[in-house]
Amino acid sequence: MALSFLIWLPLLFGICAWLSEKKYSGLGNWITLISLIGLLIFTLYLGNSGSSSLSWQWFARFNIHFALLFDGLSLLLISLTIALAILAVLVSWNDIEKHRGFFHFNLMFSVAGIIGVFLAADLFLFFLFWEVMLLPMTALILIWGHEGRRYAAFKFFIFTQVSSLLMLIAIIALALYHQNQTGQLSFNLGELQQLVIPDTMQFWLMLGFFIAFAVKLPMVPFHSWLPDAHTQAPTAGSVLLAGILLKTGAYGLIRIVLPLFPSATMEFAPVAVTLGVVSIIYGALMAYSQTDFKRLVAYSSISHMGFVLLALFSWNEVALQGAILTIVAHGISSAALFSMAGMIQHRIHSRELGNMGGMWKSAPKMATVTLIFVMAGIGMPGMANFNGELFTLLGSYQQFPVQTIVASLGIIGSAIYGLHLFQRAFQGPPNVDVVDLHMRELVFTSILVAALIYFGLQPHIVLELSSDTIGSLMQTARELRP
Amino acid sequence: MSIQELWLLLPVLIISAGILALMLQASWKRSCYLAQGICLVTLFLALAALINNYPTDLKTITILFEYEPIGGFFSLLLLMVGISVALLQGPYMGANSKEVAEEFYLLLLLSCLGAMLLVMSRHIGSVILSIELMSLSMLAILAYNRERKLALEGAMKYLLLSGAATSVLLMGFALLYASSGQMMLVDMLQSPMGLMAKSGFVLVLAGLAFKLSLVPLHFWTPDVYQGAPVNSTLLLTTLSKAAVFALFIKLILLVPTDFEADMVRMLSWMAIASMLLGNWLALQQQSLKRLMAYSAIAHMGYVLVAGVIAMGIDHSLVLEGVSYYLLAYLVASILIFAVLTLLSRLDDQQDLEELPQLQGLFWQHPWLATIMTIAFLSLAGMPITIGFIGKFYLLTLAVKLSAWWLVTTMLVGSAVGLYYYLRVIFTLFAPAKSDMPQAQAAYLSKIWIGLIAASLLLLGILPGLLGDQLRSILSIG
Repeated sequence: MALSFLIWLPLLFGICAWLSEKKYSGLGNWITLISLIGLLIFTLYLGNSGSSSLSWQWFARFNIHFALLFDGLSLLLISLTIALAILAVLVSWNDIEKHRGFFHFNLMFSVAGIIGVFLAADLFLFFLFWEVMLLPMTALILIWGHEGRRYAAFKFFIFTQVSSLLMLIAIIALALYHQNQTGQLSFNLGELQQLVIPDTMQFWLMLGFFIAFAVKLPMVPFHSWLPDAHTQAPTAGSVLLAGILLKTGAYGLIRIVLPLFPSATMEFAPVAVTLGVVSIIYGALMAYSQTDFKRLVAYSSISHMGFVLLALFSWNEVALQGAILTIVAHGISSAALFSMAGMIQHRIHSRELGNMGGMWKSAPKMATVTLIFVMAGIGMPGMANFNGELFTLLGSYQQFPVQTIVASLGIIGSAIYGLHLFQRAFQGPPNVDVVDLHMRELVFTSILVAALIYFGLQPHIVLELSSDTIGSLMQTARELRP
Repeated sequence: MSIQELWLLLPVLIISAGILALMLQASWKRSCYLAQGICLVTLFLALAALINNYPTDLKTITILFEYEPIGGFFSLLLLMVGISVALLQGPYMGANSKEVAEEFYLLLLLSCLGAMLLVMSRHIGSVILSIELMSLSMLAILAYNRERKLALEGAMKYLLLSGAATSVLLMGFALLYASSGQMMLVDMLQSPMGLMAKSGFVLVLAGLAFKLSLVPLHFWTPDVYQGAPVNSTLLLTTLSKAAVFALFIKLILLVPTDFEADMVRMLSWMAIASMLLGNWLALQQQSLKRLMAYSAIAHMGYVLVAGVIAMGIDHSLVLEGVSYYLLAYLVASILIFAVLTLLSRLDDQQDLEELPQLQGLFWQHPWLATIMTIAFLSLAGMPITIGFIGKFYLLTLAVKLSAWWLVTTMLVGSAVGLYYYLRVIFTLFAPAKSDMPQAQAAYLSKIWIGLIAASLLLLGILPGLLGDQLRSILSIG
């Protein structure tokens, strides 16, 4: 019961914020902020009492249940979601000029949808949340985005929606296969895991899910929605998109594709890993050639998510740990860079690196913080991203040595584009005068810095939370790969 | 005819009585409020009568009609449509319109009567009579504003083509009669089917496919939709489609096994063509009415998928799927046209229908725009709307039968459909441009629309409410 509050409460508070913003301007910010902090505490409290689950009868004709499962991995990702939503509220505190109440409603609505994805234990429910979280996100891009928002919103919506239709077919086929075998339709993840699926069928089903998740991740060649959506979205939207939405793809792979279709996954792994490596290199190259701050960070996301793909399909313990570390670390660091981009854009009304330059002189604090974020992004030891990349490369080298060697070039690439970004924006002759960070901005950027360093030095917290999931995945792997 | 049979006919009798009352009223004292009131009371009474003795098994009423659960469910849908149109006509016309008001309600009741009789028909005679009763009274409704040139043009087109379609239908029935010597639908299709019987059946289906505007018999749809006053378009796209589809599915379920393979091939192609062409042509439409016309073609294609599958597997799930999908389609269409109706006036030369005219509706009339948005999302098949559940039923059926061609086309169609539905929604949320006056007051209509919108969401979020019951609602015994 308490578990479902995680989904209802954000919606409820979102409506509250919408209504109260109409009465008193500015109140919406506070309501959203306080309720999100409350939700974070509530989540941690729930997580403290171990994993829990819930299942209600929902659509009996198809044996569909409203089933939620809350374990370590869910706890980790939900906390990350709420924390980044708090960041999104803080960073757009004064940014949103029109329809502020509706903005908060959409923000909370998407948080509710994302939390739903991380909780769902029934594939029908999973699909429902998967689609529903798109709507508010599209609205965020469409209404509060930048100049090319209409096109970006279209592209974002249609890419994800079309790919998820394939997933819907796969879900239905899977449930019908369950009916074939046991006489009863089932959409329950746990029950479906018991199925033994013939290889060809497993392959096609896996492909349906894989494409949906690969588009979200995104993986080259399904990535082209991402640079547009990230660039055109308002800062809060970019933070949520890069920090969380991309991770739902990785989460889907961990929760559904690997456990349900293990042998098909292993067979498909060389292809997926190669595509992951292509994403890493392609993302890094494209990032280097960008002149738009946000676009650059967007392409770097493609590169980083390539590591996750590489790690997941290598499927050994170290690599899986690397994937989860990267998910968390990239969530924080890319959200941090996008919020920096937002702050700069708020000041100079441009995202072009050509219009920046020499900002260190007028805004030293901002420059220092950005430097730390960039360093985290390129994987400096001691910061969270380093652990993720190291584990990923270590783990996948045992399975796919060639691909891993090529992938490690991506780290060099990331150093090049990262430093390039920093140099063009903050060093060189002063081009623009900007106001340095305010108190509010200083507070949340320093929290982000602290988080990056903390997870860099204490990765075991993340690993402990996800150990159950990884353990059971390894169990499956050992059965198939003696 | 016994009292028992008359009692079963009660909903139809109530509507007939309402028609008489309306005629008397029009000759005694003309008043648009009174006429609307009588019309609504009649429809609600008929609804109450229908719910009160909802059919649980098959009962025949003379040789012409039968009273069974599927027809009962479709009658419920038809009455819902009739009530919506009647409620919307008041604000659409205004109190002092140039056109007379009473006749509209009269025609509306007549076409409802025709539609309800059509879903109860079991005999060639009653099919032809009721389908013509429905179509002819709808024809007058389509040209209700005589000063609109486009409306007259559209009505004329509909008259000619619908006449042609009816003669095709009659010809088909004649051939079937010639080969079987039977006039009851159930007995007409006997196995083995000769060439004459087969061609007769194909002609019958073609006549019905015209009414359903399935490709390749869809050409009249966009022009008629665009020309007609928007409230009449609503009636055309909901009432006649639902009623004719009920008959269509009944006939398909009767197809003898030796003709099934051919029928599956023919109907699959029609379904595929309708889904692709309808969605494709809707892409670049600027007029919402035309867009809805093409979208209707596409959606009829989707329902036809269920019809194709009906010949393959367990009928119960197919009927549930068809019913749910049609319900979803009707609800969404009612809502979209209702919003347009509330923003337009019958007396104007044109309705508010061009996309640019709707720009920024959300910031001016948030409720209307929200309703329109969820209705379009439902047509696009997004979760938490009833449209998704409908699509889920159909996809489940298609996957179950491994009809991969149909599944692929449905996917492609949905993907294309997304684009133009999204285009409309994005326009609603664009910055506002001009002032849009909406119908004042009309609280009753707005409450009704609100109820339908709420049910769209409710049945989408809790599909079990209806889905778990549908089997017992639709099955005999």
